[in-house]
Amino acid sequence: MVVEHTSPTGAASPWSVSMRDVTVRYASGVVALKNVSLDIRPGEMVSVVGLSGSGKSSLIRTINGLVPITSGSLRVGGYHLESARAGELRRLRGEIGMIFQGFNLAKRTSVLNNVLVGRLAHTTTLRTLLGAYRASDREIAFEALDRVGILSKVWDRASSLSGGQQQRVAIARALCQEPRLVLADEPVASLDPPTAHEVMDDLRRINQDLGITVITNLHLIDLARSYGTRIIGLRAGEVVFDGPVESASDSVFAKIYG
Amino acid sequence: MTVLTIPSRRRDWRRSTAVIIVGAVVIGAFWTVEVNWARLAELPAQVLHYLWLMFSDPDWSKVPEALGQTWKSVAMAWVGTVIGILLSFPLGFLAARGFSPAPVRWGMRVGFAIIRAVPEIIIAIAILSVTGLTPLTGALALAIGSVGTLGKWGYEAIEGVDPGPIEATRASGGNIAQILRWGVWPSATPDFISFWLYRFEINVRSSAVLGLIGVGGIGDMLTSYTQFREWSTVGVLIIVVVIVTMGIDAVSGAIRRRIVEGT
Repeated sequence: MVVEHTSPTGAASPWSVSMRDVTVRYASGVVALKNVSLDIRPGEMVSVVGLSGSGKSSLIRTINGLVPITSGSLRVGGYHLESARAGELRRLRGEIGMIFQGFNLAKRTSVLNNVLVGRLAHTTTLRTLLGAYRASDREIAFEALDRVGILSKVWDRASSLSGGQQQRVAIARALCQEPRLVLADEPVASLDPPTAHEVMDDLRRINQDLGITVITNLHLIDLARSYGTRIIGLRAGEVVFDGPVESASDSVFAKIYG
Repeated sequence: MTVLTIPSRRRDWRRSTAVIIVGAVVIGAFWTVEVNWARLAELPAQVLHYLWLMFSDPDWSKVPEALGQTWKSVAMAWVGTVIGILLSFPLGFLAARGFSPAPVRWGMRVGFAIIRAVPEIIIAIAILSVTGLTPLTGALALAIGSVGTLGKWGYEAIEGVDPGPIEATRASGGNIAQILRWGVWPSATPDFISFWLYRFEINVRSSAVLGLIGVGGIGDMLTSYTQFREWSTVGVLIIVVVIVTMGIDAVSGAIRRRIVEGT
């Protein structure tokens, strides 16, 4: 099947993120983020580094509202997350792609069905429940798969793919949302080094070719150095470094990792 | 050679208590149930006698009627299972953690538990006054009974699925229905289909029992012929029931195994 290439996905203008004194306290009493203030400009490629438990995962999940903030204010695109209702949150998430360490694909269904999850917020519930997506939605899905180079696997079961291929499907799922912002939570931690670089290259292309804001959690220093333009270091829920890659010296990393 | 210091084993008093209580219940049960032990000695001879009556000269002319009645029982089981699936499916989701508020969830779970505690034959007797002595009564009783088990298995399967795809569908802006469809359903499909088939197998067996109260089917025929002590026909009926039930079990079981393995 041949799909004509139209305008690149993600033509919509990228989003910024603005955090002011954001604190996240879980029901268990654990404080994951303490008075975090950050500004991420549209089209930036940011790496968030820190030890596990430093609050990276919570930080990234506050941005699409998967983790609610306890206090402070958080503005993403035109949305104010501290006061967003359920419907607004779903619309916000529809504009934000997310990539996970464990790929999070529905393994027993086709690659296409997984990628079309990216259209859930952009089409009617009835269509999505029946799997009767519009032809235009399918085209977006095919284009997204083509962009990460695995269009040939479109009819395969997700479980039949390798880890690297599954993460590409997950990236295609995020692209299929035509996102204004992409969040990646340890996207390469489950992959071998060569595959990790390929996936990071895909993320960089999303940022450079489509201009989409990309925020990536990483725990490996060298990956953060090679793929971010800006590094944010978290330690025990607090921002201990925020600056361009060039100024992130070894002593800075020593401070982040303690 | 070094001497090993073996840590002393802790005696668990709860375990000892449990053993004593279970032992007491078993002994108490023997004591209180009035069994005529003398008659127990006659049992093997009696069993042989009745086996002889039933299977020495089976009345094969009753096979077509027996098959017809068995078909009716299987149909009852089938209709009951389908209605049970249609009812239990949405109710199962309402009982699953993360998809429904706690009061609704616990209401559903208590409901399922109550249904499971009541045998289908009691359910059938309870709804008999409304629906009459018809196969529909049997089918409805099986449907209600199925909701108890299918509902429980359903919410357990939903709660047990990989949370990853659920998070991914939520993160892409999906609502509850979409999360269930694309985050839960693809992982839970084999479990659900397997449960449905297994419940159908159970219902096929239960439908024969339901005949005892007269709602039709093979059980009904079996009761009549037993009452008239026509053992040669009873023997044929038992053969038909066993073969048909085992056949359905075998086919359904093979399909279930393929579904579970083909994941």
